[in-house]
Amino acid sequence: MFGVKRTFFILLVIMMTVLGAVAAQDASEDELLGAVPGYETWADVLAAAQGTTVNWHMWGGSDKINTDVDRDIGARVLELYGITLNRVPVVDTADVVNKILDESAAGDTTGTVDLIWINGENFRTLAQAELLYGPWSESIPNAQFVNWEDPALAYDFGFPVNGYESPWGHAQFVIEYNTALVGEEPPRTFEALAEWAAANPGLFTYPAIPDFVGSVFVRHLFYWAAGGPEPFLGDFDQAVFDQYAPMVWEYLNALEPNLWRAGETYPEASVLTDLLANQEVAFNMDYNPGRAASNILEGIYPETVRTFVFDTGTISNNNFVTIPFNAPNAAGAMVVANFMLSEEYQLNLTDPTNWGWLSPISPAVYSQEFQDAVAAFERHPATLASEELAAHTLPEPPSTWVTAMEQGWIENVLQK
Amino acid sequence: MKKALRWVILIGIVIVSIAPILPQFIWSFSHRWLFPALLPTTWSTEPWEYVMTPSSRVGEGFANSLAIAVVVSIFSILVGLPAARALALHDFRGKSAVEWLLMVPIIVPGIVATMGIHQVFIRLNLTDTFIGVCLVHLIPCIPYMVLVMSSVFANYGTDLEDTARTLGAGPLNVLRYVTLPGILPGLLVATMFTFLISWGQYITTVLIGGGVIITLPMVLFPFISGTNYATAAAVSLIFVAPAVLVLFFTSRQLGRESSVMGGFGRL
Repeated sequence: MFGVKRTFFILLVIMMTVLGAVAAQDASEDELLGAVPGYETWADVLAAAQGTTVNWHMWGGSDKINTDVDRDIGARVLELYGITLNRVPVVDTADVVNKILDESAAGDTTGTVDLIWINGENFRTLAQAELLYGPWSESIPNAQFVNWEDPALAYDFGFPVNGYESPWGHAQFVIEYNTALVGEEPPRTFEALAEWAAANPGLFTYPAIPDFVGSVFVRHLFYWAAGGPEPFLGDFDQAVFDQYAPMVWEYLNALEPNLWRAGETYPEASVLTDLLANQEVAFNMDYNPGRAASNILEGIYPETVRTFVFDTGTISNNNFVTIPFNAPNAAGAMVVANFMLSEEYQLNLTDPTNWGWLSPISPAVYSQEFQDAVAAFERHPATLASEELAAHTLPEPPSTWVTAMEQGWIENVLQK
Repeated sequence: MKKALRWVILIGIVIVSIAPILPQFIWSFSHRWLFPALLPTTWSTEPWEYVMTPSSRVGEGFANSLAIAVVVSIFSILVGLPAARALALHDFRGKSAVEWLLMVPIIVPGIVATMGIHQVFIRLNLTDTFIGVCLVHLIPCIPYMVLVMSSVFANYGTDLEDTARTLGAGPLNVLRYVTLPGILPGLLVATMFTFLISWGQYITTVLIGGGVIITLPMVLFPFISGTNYATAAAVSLIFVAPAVLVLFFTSRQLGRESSVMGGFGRL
């Protein structure tokens, strides 16, 4: 049974890769030299970018990310390329998407947004409306480091990237748990988790949807119900959804009385972090596998917090940046995106004492010095080895599935 | 007795306005503050250190917000004051239509109006400019200026102006010695309203300012959506500072026997 599914999955991956490659080739045939609209060579891009300002619209709710971006990207691109990075803080990237839709409706061909830190859903919106500049991301010099055949890089929430987005960082869902309450061996399957919660009521919960962490937790249950992610990787199919959803709602409703506050309410993600810090619950969850370690180092989490992934794997995805169709400085934006794939920056990104993110790029493609430096990083005991994470990764479904799952949870779990 | 009551009310207003700020103040110095501790278990000045760095863009946002709010307040007075006087003291054809039109920006959700305005501003080349942001802030500000001032003028009447004129005062002297002193408390309140409405604008600034003009709400609001309460508290203290200052300096005017309080009764 499992063998058949695995074969199917491998076939699907191959199919997606081939489709991605064909699509990329089409794009390159449209644009002479397979290159970037408006520029013949990378030298042209660099010349056009020299001395300009790049307006990068990105979520601005983390003082750490803001400071890190200004220091390790902003200051460096100024030094190397004479580019001033204007980081524009936004609450919700959907506002930026609306702005670009508006500008398009008014026929505005020179906007103000050069670069956007974007999620899969907003990327789909802009790509479907053909409001992105490109294709460019497979043509910039450092794109050679990116494994474009990896479905997680060729697709963003099921939507083909096709040269319109460049990766920045990698994320993978992990469960954080307090060994003082759970013991050394956490429940690594959903069956074991339900048993544990029944034996220890009130110590587990998950963030309420529409929080994206709560949403990804529920997605794992769909994969669990179907025995794998395969049924959810294609276009949305109501029949498939109806086949597996009842099992998910049944699981979650049975779990509910054993949740924190008997499931009468679900916390926000930030509150759940406080609850774990305060040892009021035993678990938390996040897309950043290194967050537990940094929270321990900052004295927020107890020293006894560790992380784990489910035996059947956890969902991973990539952070991307994109350039809108009317970017006044696409050249500068490409230079910044290219720098973000450089060896220098990716080393800072993966350094647990600096950014503490995961890299979307395999270290093997960089120099020996890079690999030695990465090998020398001291991994905090709360952070899983990258080999263990890599061995347990699952793909994201297309965002149409995500919307249906979130809506279903609200109707069948929250309101029941 | 009446005076004592007024002081009680004033002190009450001050407590109600200041009390919510106190926990923000403690939060902004906290590092770890979890239930059921009454005070943070570990303290930190990190949020304030961050606010001082250029990366936070708080200083830049504050300066822009202040400049915009001042310009918007001045324009609100220039446009709203004559309109309010005309609506309060004169009857003319279509008066109720004008009143209704003035109310529309308050009734229609801001985001809906702003999307349309954005497209018009793009065609007029007003997007991504300081003056464009000021103009779009004027739209929700003017109704408040007109509403407050028309009730002030309605209570105020023109008798004193007529008397001054019969005594030989010219238009400028009437304005300077009679009209302005008469409406000043109301004008202060209305200006305070418009200042704070402009100060708190987010989505209009994002759309029209295009990220070229960074204001304080654009810096603050992402933190409220984030998980770092301490930094959010430090930035929000800076954000509410002008409101508290304005309230403090105008509270004397508000406490006076003035047409302002009577004016609210007629709204």
